Amino acid sequence: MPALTLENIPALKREVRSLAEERDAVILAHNYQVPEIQQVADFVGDSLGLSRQAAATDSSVIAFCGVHFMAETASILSPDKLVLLPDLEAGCSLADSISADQLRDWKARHPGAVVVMYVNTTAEVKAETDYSGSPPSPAPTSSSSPPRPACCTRSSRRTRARASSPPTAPRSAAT
Amino acid sequence: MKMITLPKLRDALNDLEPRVQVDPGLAERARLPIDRMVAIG
Repeated sequence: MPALTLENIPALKREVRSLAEERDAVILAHNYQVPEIQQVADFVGDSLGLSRQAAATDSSVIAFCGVHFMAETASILSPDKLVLLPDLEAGCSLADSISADQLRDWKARHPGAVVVMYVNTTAEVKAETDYSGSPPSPAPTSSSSPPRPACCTRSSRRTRARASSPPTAPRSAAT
Repeated sequence: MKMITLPKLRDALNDLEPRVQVDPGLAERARLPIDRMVAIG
């Protein structure tokens, strides 16, 4: 594969757009992607915004320029589409900070708890979750319901900080 | 986030690989919390 240089970027962009049309593909790019990827994308946005685009697209192929959990979310929302992730190693440290086994263990110790997760989670963790979204969307509350513990994904920093402390339930919202 | 490059995107579109697929049963359960949050916000 030839090295990516300033000289061959325009030709690669044309090739990408031509292939996208040929494959009936929509290109979704996270706004953290490098400029040349954003420039060939049909839509650029945050993870939840791109999920909505993935759910709404008529294209048969979704080329997701982001990290693994985002492509998984696109597949969850558009199960009949073929979802491509150009590099399967593209991951997210936040999504890696909690596993489904950890969450199941926490739920077993807190029966009846409501689980609210940032969208940066694996499909397996989402399957154990009650609400999954981004920070601007508040978790629903009801004055008629008694408060119940909620579990949110923890940042790596918080996880590290707790590693040397006695185990406690993850109750506070983070990130 | 910088792992995705134009050559990789070009190859993915050309080869229709690598793919990300979620098991249908798991996807059905994983969709519920997303739909709930979208519905309220």
